Amino acid sequence: MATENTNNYKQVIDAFTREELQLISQAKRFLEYYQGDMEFRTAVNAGRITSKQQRRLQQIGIHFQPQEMALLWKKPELLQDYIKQSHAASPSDIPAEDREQIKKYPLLELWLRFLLRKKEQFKKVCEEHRPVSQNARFQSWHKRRVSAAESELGAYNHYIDHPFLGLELCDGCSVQCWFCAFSAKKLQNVLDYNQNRFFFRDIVQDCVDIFGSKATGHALLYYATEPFDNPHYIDYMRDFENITGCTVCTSTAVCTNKVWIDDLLAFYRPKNQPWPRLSVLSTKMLHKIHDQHTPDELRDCSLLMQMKDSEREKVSGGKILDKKNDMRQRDSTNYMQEVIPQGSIACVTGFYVNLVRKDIKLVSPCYTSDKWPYGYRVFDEAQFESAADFKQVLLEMIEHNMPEAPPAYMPFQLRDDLIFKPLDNGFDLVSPNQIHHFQNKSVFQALRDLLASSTVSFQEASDVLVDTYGQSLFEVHAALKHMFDAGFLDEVSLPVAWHQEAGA
Amino acid sequence: MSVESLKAFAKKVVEDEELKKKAKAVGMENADGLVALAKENGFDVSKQDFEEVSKEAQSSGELNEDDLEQVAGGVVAAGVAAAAGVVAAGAAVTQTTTSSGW
Repeated sequence: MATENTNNYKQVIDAFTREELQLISQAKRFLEYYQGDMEFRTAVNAGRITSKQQRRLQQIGIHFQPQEMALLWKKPELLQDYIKQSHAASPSDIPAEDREQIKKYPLLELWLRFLLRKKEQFKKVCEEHRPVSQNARFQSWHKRRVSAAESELGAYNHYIDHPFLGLELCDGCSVQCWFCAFSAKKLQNVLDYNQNRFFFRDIVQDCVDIFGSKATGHALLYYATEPFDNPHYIDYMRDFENITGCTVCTSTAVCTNKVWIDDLLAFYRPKNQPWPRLSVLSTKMLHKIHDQHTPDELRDCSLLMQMKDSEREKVSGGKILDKKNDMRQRDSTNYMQEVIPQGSIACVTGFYVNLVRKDIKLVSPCYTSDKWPYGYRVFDEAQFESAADFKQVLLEMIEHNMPEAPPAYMPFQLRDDLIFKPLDNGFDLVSPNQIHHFQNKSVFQALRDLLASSTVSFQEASDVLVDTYGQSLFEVHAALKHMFDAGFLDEVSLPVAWHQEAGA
Repeated sequence: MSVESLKAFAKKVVEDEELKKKAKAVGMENADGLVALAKENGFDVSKQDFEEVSKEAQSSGELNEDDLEQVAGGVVAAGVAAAAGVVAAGAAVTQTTTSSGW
């Protein structure tokens, strides 16, 4: 199949001239140096960049004068407001005074324009260009999980694009990052390309048969693994692209292996894709990256500062959760205290498959907690033996976990992150990041009493509300369906209930 | 045709066991069938009326988009961090694996 690039990122870079892009790549590098080197950060914040640091800037390809970015340390609050307002309002709503101030710093203004365009385009991609699976059951399940993530993670969900598949090509990870939210175990084995190329291709083809090409292409070839660990990672990416027509992204923490990074850049740059993303684990590593690659070479790659003194917040999951108390101790007497900002490192909403161990998990991102320490909820798990078996197992998981409509036997219970708050006029459901009101309708008052008093099946809930509470059949159906469609109901226990029902 | 007619039909369904059985047999997802059943019983309702009832039976969220952004953005306050693209802690903690969908 011919390679089909959506080139959404190209729409970002096409808005700038070659000269502007060169300046943008230098501004980007300046900010990476700021973010990743505490000494430089301190100097910039104080507006006192040393001559040694000035030389370093030249050495790593930054040829503008730091004064061109001086607003960063002169009026940081202005920039903060400008970016916040740019997200919330239209550019014309930004106070003219702020715009005038920024105009005095053309390089900074150019950078902000690039940054905002990139964010805007990514938002658009998430909102408008999410592929649709040809499997209707999976598609409606995915939609419910995205709604549940919006409810559970609030604004953090806006940065998750919910790929359908995560296919791991290794068992374990050689890097062992200190913050790993997935607590990846040490590298055990890799999927040998010479022996497994056709197995891999058959697995991808199985997914295409079930979900369609574009939906399958909305995938990752790593999850709790390091791409570099599989020496044929790029060959696998090519095979994947050949079958689906889609290019997958890559994040790597092996950033100082020049051959590896050059190979990834050679793969992505001609396709105008913003990858690889580099996880920078130390300041020393950052300096080496800057020494090995020009600003232009890394123009489209995000460098994620993962050093311990970085300003980037880490999700309190996996290895960090082992060392910290659970953030989930929510005070049930105070609504706003219950809203604890915290995201998830997870992104796959669908099938998380390890091709070495031959196991499959059905997962979706959630609030990181003792119960779900890796920031994803596991709905079902299975093993498979071969590509043919894989397809069968996947279809069975869809059958057991993804009903088109709420089945009669489904336990009528709330998602496990929700706190139920009975009120005089109905009830509220409080997630870690959001509050949902079910108020001022008699059906909500009846539902409140039902939720407070007993555990029933979906069908029993409907019958009790109509027959015992005398509610309108249509309103009851609409309210219960809304609770299902919006992802408020627990679906983790669905396969158990399915088996019980099938055995009954 | 009105939501009021549908409400009157719903009341009759609650009171009349036979009609309730018929409505359940038609199925709640079958809007055309329910409209026909309502008409058979003298209630002039439309599919739009059912859609209206569905909308009314939905919850509302307390935190709007801006509020949500504020919650997520309230952690990193430095201007340089903002300019570097880490304005929201939400973005900061999730960008590692999340922006794969370009």
